[in-house]
Amino acid sequence: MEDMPAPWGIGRMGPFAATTALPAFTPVIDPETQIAVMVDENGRTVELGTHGTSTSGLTPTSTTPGDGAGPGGATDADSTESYDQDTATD
Amino acid sequence: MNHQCGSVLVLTNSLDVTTDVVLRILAERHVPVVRLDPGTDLHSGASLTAMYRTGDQRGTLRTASRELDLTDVRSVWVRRPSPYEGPSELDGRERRFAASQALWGAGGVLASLPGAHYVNHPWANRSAEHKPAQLAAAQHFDFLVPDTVITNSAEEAKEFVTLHPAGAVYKPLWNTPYSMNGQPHAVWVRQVHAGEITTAVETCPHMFQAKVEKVFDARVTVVGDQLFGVRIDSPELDWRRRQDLMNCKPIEIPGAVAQAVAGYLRHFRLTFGAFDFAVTADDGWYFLECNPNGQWAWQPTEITDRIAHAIADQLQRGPAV
Repeated sequence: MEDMPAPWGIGRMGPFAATTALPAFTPVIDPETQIAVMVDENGRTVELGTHGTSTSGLTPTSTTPGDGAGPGGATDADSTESYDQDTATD
Repeated sequence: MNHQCGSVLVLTNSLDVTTDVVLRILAERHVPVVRLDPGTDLHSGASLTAMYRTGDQRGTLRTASRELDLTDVRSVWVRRPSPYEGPSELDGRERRFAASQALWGAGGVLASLPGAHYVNHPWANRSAEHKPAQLAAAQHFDFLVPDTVITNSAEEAKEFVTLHPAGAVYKPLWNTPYSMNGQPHAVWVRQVHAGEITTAVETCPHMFQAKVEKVFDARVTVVGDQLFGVRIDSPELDWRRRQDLMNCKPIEIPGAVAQAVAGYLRHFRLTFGAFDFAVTADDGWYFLECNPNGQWAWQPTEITDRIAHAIADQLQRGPAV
């Protein structure tokens, strides 16, 4: 087992062409609609995101092969159960 | 109980803006919604209690803004809940214990609400995420399937690549979150040459697939019996890498493909599915994968709107009577 090479597939990886910046404020859930909103430093409520077509690289709506969006950006292929099972077995 | 008056339970993280598109529609329709991110909310203020006894089951979910009777859930939308990782304040072992209890406890309670309509059921998602199961179902339902091998034999891998002179690609069997130098990485599909295959293939299973001589890619998003087809033209072999460079427009879906899609989703008990195809010059639609919980809001607005309404319809309608 001493000479076990790293999985071949790891050598096929590359960085994401673009990544999403996390919002500067923590979203809160609107009690009425349950839509995520942000309260900015002036106390104004703004909606979290814009939707629809991705026009500038990876947006929070983009489809990705992995979890590249950082905390909170769950993977496209993922269900919570499988992610957890894959990482919590050490 | 009357599910038509019950709530829609939405499981997702608070940064998931795709959810908000559908919640806006449900709000306009005055459908009651409860949003929960079980992997984080349940150790930061929310509480979940379920009780079972002979002939009866009940329960209550309390969030910052809702109190939900678990017998009064008409639909559950499993979108992008955070992984069950346990409270970050705990040390490794304690945190792993809490995380597993949450996964099997909260995850189990939320997956076992009788009579609720799941879009999709989380365990159906999980079954349908296995690539070998996808390929087995795809060939069973008569999709065109590219030649594929899953092996941990370097010899077999090399032979497969050599036997496909028009090209082969490598795809991982699972997209493991992976970072190099603090930067997230993923496998992007590109051609494999036989000379690149080494014994490192023997460390774990690897999947190689014949490269389809495609003219364009297609995404078919399915919600119930509604299909939404989009043609994707991209300068990249793997269009997902540069979604800023691709061009999408609505496309007709061949009848045989629509029929295969219906059988496939029934097989995996899925209400929603995102299918990727590579389409050849003679209109051969080759099955690449079906992501049971794929992203969809990156498509042209007119498609996204229709998908959002179709999902809202499913959630509002609840279980089939």
